[in-house]
Amino acid sequence: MAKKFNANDLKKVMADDAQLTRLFFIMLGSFILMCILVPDKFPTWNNMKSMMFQFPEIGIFALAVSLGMLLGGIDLSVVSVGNISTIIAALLMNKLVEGGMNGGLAVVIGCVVAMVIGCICGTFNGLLIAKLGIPAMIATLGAMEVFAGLGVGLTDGAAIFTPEAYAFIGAGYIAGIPVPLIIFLVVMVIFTIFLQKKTFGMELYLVGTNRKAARFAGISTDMTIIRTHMAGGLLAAIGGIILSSRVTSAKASYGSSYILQCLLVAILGGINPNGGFGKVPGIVMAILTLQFLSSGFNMMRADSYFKTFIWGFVLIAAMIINYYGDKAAEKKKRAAAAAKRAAEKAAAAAENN
Amino acid sequence: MKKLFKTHETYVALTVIALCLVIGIINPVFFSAPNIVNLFRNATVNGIMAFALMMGIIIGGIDVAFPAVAVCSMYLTTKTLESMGYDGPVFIPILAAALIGTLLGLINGLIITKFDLPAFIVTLGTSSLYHGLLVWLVGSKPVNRLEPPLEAFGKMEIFRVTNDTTSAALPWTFVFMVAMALVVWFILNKTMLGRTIFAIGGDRTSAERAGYPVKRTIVFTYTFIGMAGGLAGIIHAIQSQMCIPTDLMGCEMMIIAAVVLGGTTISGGRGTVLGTCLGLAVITIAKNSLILVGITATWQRFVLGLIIVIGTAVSAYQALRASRKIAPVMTEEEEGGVVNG
Repeated sequence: MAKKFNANDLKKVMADDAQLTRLFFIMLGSFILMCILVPDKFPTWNNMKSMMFQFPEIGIFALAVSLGMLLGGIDLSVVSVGNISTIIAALLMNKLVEGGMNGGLAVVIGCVVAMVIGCICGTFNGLLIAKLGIPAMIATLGAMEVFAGLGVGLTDGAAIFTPEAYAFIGAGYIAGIPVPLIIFLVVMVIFTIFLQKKTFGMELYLVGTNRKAARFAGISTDMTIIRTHMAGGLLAAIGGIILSSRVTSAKASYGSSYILQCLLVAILGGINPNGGFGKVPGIVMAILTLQFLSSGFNMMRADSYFKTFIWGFVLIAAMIINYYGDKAAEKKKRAAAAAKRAAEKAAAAAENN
Repeated sequence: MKKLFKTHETYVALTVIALCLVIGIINPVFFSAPNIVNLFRNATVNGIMAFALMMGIIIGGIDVAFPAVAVCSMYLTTKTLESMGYDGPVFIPILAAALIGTLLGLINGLIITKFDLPAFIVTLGTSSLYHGLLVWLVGSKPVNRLEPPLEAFGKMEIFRVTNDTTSAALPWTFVFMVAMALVVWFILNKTMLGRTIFAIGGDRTSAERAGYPVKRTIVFTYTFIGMAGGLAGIIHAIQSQMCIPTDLMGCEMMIIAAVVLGGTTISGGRGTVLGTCLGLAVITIAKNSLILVGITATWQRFVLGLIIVIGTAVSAYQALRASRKIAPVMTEEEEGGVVNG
């Protein structure tokens, strides 16, 4: 009896979140596919380890893009925010280390400064969108040019090398676990809690679903938008810190191909680009899928333009699949409602008799 | 006269004049005839794309795939001509490039309408799909020398101006930009199609209920942008006398900025050819003349970004203020305040 109940329970969860279930199988499928295609290199501990270092940064950037999308907008400036934060932090850290400061302390100060700059950049985006009424896409596209331009101007377009101690963040281990992975997990857990359990998340989803209704419900929509973009800026800075520390330098042009991949992760992860729908677990599964495919293609020595093509293709395909998935779910819902109505009618008729 | 000061175009025109005066006072070279002719020459390719894109933005959509479409068209065309040693009339390759663009644009339009997907994300996807497929399959080796008909066409000049230091010519390719502006103006202002585009951009649901062919018009718009992209691609190749398959990629930002600066509202429903001309002027002048006022290449991107943010902020803020104004006006009307207009 108990066993049967469990099976039903699982079925219910799967039906409730058809998208996450679908995504889980896509992830599993891409993993198995790569195991079959590159059996000697893909399913190895070495590969698993290198993947654990690679996906956290794009995962965090993708979460930042997703926050914007949950609001019904988008945040295209994430990578440039990450770059400008780490460029300024790197310049500062180098000055501090030159001045004879302990490397570890300088790195801590640098990271804090980077995150503060990320927040400021995010707030700038939020103000443009909420207070001036610029559509999010245009605002963040313009902001991207400003931040990237500032980065190029400050560095002459060259890479700024970071202090030795900084590399720990991108390449170190704590208790045998890669540091980027730890940061990734902490960020994802915190944001899952904030989005699903806290008022902030509730307000964010409401504003994303229907801005006008949210305002009438007494939510300060402007404040929600600014706060969300501030959080996005913070995430962008964290992603930038991992990226720059992994390559031990900061540069304005790093991660120029990331924005498409971030969007891909967000869409594949079930974030609705019209706002209001999407969950963190989806993003995690989507970034893993992307990493499996990416690593596998690298092992097969695929052309980088082949990868560009595949990302575009997967992005379009994912949206089309979601379209049919939503349609099927709606059909099912309607059928269920009709059946319920019919049953009620029958019951009423029986009662009358 | 009062109406003149209310239009967005007036503000953009004032910006253009101010920009010209500031740059010209700091460095008088700006006002020299060759520099001005060069500005027109440099605006050609961007202009072709901007006018078409404006229609896409008016209808309430966006397209970021047209640079990729342009690259596909120009590279496929020039590569084919190179391999067959083409020596026929020049209009056939131009037509072929426009056709390739039309096809790719049609694909965009169909995906967007058939599955009811956000245009930005779809075109971002097809952009990397098209460009990735092109370079992966065809390669990235530049076509260093165009075939004689194209080369000759690129060197044909409408007129040439010379002063004591430099000389510059306006090529015949400029005509394509003028033609594109006229076609877009005609479609938007003189045809039912244009009314439909404005109607859909203003309120899609209402347009649907009023019986406008919404989906068909949207597909047409993206197809048209694709066609313009193809045309812009081959013109770019003709003007630069070579074809590099990574050129133009990333220019979408500037083009969108030009259209939005020109007063086309990004949420759709409003936009004029004149405005886009002026927006294009701002972007072209800023991009080509910052060096004249001593802003070094490293800071150019930052200054351009600022111009874009400030420009869009001004136009968005005006729209926001206007929409806030509408509410009280409507209540006044209900109270019977307005008798005759």
